[in-house]
Amino acid sequence: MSVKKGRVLYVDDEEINLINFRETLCDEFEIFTAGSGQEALDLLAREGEMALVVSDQRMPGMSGIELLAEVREAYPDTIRMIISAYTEVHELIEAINKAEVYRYFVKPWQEESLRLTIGNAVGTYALGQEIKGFVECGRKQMAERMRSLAGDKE
Amino acid sequence: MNPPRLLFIDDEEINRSNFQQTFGEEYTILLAASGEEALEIMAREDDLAVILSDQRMPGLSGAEVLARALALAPHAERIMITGYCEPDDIMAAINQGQVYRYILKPWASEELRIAIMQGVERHRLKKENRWLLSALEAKNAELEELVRSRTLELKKLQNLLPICSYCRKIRDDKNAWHGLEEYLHQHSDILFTHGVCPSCYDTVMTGLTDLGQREKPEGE
Repeated sequence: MSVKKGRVLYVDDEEINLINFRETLCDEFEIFTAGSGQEALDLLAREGEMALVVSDQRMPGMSGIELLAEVREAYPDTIRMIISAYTEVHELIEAINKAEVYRYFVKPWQEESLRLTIGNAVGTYALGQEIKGFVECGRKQMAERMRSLAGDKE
Repeated sequence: MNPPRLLFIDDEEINRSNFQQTFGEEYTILLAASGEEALEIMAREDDLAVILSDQRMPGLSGAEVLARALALAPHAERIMITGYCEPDDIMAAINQGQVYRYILKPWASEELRIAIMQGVERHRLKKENRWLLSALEAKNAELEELVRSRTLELKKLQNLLPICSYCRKIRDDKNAWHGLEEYLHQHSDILFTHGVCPSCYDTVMTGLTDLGQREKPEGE
């Protein structure tokens, strides 16, 4: 049985990072990439919800935190992560309070650690979806049973 | 309803009493002067809504305490409140403590109040979801059982039924005899509307006429 790969969007203004990220992780995840915050939002509107959005913090135009705050509004189930070479205090605090990030990762990344963290994030998302699906399925079963019981009575 | 329970961890007495005074009216406040003390409280409390911790304390740091809270009180939301902000501390708060909010000391009580309200609300929603999930499971199990027993009862009516040739009672699988009406009603949703069939009508009416004719002469 083939397991569906988790969908991960990586956003960075440096193309070399996008290529690097994709090459490192495409064996395990379905990778999408975008070169800016706006491009990322367009891609999400086109491709639909991702399990995880990982973004660089400092980019021309929209910052990573601004992007993830918007992602949080539009796709609240999607897990959010920042990868940045900078660890400035106010950015870190905003990453928590505005973007509610799952992890803050420091560049340059270590491959194994990144792979593990992304695996955990995708797993967390999948679990949430599974519970949602379970509730949905339970509701349907309940409605069906109620209908069949009501049908008996007629 | 009981007010939501908050655990506040700070090694400075003045901060603890300040927090107690500011939020004690709206919430039930539990105070801990160290991470170690907080862990003991988490181990015995089962319904903490929000855990708020200072970062720098002797012994366990705030990030360490909140990381342990993930296992000890997994349903509580976590907030860090701190006067110092070294990048490494904040990174630890995110990556180990998985905090929901990061508040700087001295705290603006409005900012903190909103953060706590949002944390309490998140905790409540998640709790409600867990409750709905288990209620849904229970309801479905109940309905499944009902459908099963209803199906069994309906099936019974499709089998051979032992019936008394004289009084028309039916014998059930426990060897008890039931009136036809009673039995059919119990094993289906049939309700009876009573009438008299033509041949019985004749029999009954003949009986009554006979009776009338017999009685007449006596009454005269």
